[in-house]
Amino acid sequence: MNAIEIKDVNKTLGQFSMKDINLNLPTGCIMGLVGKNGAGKTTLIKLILGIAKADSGTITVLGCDNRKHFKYTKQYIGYVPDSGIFDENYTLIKINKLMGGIYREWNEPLFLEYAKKFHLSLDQKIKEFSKGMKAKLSIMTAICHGAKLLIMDEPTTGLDPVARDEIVNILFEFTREEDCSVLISSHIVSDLEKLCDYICLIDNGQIQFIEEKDEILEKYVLCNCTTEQYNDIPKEAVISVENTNYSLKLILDKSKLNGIDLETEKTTLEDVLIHMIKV
Amino acid sequence: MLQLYILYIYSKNDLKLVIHINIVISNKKDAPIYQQMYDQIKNLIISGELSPGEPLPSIRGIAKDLKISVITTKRAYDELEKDGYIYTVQGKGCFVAEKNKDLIMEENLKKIEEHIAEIYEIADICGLEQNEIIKMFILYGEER
Amino acid sequence: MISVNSILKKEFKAILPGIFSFLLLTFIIFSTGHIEQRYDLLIFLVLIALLPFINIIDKDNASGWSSFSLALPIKRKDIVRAKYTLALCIALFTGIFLVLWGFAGSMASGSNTEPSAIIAVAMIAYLTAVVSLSISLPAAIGMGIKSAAAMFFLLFTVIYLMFTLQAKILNPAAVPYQGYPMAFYISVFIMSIAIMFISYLVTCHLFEKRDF
Repeated sequence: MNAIEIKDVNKTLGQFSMKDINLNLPTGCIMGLVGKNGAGKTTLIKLILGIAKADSGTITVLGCDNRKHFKYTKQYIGYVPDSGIFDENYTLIKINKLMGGIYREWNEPLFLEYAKKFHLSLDQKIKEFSKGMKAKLSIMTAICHGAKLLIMDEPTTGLDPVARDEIVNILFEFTREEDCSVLISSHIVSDLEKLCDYICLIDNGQIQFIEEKDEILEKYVLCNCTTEQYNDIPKEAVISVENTNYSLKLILDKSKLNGIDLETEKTTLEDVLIHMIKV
Repeated sequence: MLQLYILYIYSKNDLKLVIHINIVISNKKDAPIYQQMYDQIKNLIISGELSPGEPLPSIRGIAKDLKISVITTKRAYDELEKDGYIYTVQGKGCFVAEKNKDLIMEENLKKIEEHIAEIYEIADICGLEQNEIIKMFILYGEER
Repeated sequence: MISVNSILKKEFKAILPGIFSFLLLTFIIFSTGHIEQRYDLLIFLVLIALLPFINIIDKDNASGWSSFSLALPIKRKDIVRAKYTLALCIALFTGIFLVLWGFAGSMASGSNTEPSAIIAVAMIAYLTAVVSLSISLPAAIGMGIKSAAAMFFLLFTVIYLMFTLQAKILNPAAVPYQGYPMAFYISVFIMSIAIMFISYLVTCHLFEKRDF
């Protein structure tokens, strides 16, 4: 079963349009969404949640078409938007009460436990929270109501490395259950590299690829070589070339090298994605 | 990138025995992660550290503890099952298969073959002939 | 529906300051009697009662709640229904209160204001509120027009002038629309409910289609 199934979705918003979006997120997996600013990550997330309506195509979330009876399914979806959620004069106590009335399975003890863990004061107004504290609050709100699907839009942007590590650990724990899935959009590729099972690259309103993260890291390699060596490499193996004035820095598709002997190194996800976007 | 190391502790349901097994996965190594996991679990089984019938850590559990992808872990487990080292019981998990003598023999033969290949390589470098190698081999065997 | 109640409670708490100010100020004005001389003031007190309500829309847009609430297990239609319920309640409450307080104040201060003048004042206030809401709610919620509060304030003023200017020019001393039969006031009231209902349907339709 898939947690999210997007079929042939198209959407035009003013000047920007998303075309032929097809995406499947298998249950129990974590998928990372990467792309430039304005590539369509937030729009895609909003289409999935029904915050924006698709022009054509179908989106099925947790087995339910998101145009019908979606209200009941949303009990099991946790959403972390890239902006804030609550009015700045709200406190954690008020939020706890508000959410308790909205979600059937609101877990108050867990919410309070996280508040303690993150050192968030229960009666302090949100306007006095730092950016990191606000981000943690948004995440807490999304995971304390028995959600089976977490959709997060840049949840760790602006957080210090320690906080980011805490969030990554929380997400690992969240997906220990085999029916819990996560869709996370982020610029911080190192977090995605730790976390994700799948990586989806969006550029210009279209999905460029969806691949298993480990396969990406196995498939592509980094190579520093001379111009002469470069000429011997079959061109379809070369993903990108960077000229450093002293040598050439290449990213290669290992499978297309046809047995050429080269000194290669492991590449990082960030390197691969940056170069794929540039192309 | 850090070298990930975990001391995995689990207890047998009925005997309350605590067993430690080590699985070390490194991002720096050339071998793909599923290969590393496959090799290490296989070695634990062959060496006897994991005895037949013992439960393996759950796929999701070990993936989350080691902070690697569930897909990769599943691939390693699937390969191990395909090669006969483990088996799955629906609803209960994966268990170490009975020591398949043929499999182990095959493994050991492969290792010997690898060593033989090494010997020949070195012999070629220093120009040793095949019959001289065999003489050394017999001599060593007599002294043992 | 349980989820909607939580939202209703949240918004109700936010509108209380407006209601409280309205009550306080009407009490002060009414207690001196002669409401027919002060009816402009009273009608704008209704604006004070309604502004915090409209302000919630702007605040929710600014804080990100408007967009986030669409990811909650609540139907869009129910969100609109909650807003209209609250809006109508505030409008009705202020209208009824003006009538009651008008009679009470008139009796207490012995000024013997004509009953139809009191009802007329309440009616103009209530009708202005209802028509302003019926235009600004579809605009703010259905179409997402920015600064709902400023728009509402403007609308309220314009509509009030539309209703009363002619009557004022013809007879500046009297309260506009006083001296009509009860049937007139009742039919205006019924019409106002109809206007709100039509507005509700329009807002629902626009809001269902709206992208955030």
